[in-house]
Amino acid sequence: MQLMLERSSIFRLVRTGLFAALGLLAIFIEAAPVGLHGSALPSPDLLLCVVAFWVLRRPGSTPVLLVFALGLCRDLLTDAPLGAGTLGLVIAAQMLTERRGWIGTRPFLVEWLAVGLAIVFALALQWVLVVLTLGHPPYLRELLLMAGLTFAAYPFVALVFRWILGINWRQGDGRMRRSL
Amino acid sequence: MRHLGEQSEQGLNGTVNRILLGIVIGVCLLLLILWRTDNPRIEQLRMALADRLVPSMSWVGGPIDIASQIAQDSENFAQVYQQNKTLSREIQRMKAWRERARQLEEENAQLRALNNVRLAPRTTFVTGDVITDSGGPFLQSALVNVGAEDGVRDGSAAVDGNGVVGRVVGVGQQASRILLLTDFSSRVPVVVLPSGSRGILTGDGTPSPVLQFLDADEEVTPGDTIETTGDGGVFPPNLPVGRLVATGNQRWRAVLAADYGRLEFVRLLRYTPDTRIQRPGGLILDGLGQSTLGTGGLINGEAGE
Repeated sequence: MQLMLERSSIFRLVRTGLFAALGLLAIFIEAAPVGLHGSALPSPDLLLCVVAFWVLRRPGSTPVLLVFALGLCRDLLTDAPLGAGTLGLVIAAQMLTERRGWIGTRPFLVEWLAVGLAIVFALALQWVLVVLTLGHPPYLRELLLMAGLTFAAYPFVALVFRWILGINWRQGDGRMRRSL
Repeated sequence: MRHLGEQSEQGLNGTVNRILLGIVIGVCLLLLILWRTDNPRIEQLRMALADRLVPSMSWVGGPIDIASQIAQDSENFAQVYQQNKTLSREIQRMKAWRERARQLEEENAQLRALNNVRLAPRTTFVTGDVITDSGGPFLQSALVNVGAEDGVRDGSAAVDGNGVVGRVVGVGQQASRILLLTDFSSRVPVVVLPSGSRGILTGDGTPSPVLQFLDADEEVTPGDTIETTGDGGVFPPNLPVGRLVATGNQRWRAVLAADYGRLEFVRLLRYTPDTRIQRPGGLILDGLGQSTLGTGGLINGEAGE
């Protein structure tokens, strides 16, 4: 029993490390230069996709502080409004965690839509906070474009994690499914 | 029994999580306010982080660069024959120009020897690789892998082969951040040639920034070239910026000369403005000299900034 507990906590630690590494990778890909032209497509918010996938499947290995640190890292590196982007990410992650029992029982489409709502919420929050602090808000067209791209990117992120890393809903979530 | 224990543990975890979440939200809002009010300090933080992560970022950027390179190469490959023809024609023309340039240089050297001129300060530059772009719609900036160690200073102009790209707004040891001309907060004093009318090039998030406060609106025509004035001592004068275009609603915009679509390398200019006159000459009477010294000091202070 003791051994098993230790093993599971080690696994959790490894998973947390993996989550952090994948989050960083998402930030780097997001920040990689793919054309600086004003009319170039904005990069999708890959970090939010990664975080959304992990908080739904493995909430035990996504501590709030780690999500916060990743968000902060992203804000600093990609010049998103500092603090606002992180706040959007943390709250979106929390909202998804609280509804994971419900989302787990539904098909992937429902999960996708839920993540879509989280994306819209996170971007809207950033916009509102920038306006409230008297900053210059970006054009709504660009924000919508970014939201759309992020929304489109989520199934790819999910596919990569599901098939390459083999992360999926757990037996435990199935139990939750029965109790619901 | 075990079940009960687990439940209470979960409850405790939930409470701890809630408190943590509250703290994190508070910290985020605090950071946002700090970012809006004390930008330089945040900029330092940003550059410190960039310094740490620059090596690993180029590791990720590498494969992406290669992929886009392959795409571009295959595109080029299709037009190789056509390009070859154009290039050889161009080389011929260039040969004639080279001869002309050599003659001019000789003539120039002779004249300079006669004249004993003092040349304007030389501008040297350092070239860096663009590692990241902001990607998001909030700010238009890029991170370059040269920094204070390579002589980059805050405010240095960034140019590519064709024209001005932006200016340095944050300097780390091995990285610096460039604010592009298209960003909302970018302002650059420019002059429109040949009319010599001056204005401020103001970024507004679109690919072609607006020309504001143009002093002789009626003298300029679409297609005029725009160059930096060098006012303010941040940019060297006469760097090409772009061309003037008219928009319907009485606003002039600039089509930028720099190729933002394919920005892989940028040059950061190490420029020191020419000597400035900071005090009145020594021939003025003593009393007057005393009273003007104060203003002299003030000008000095401004120049320092």
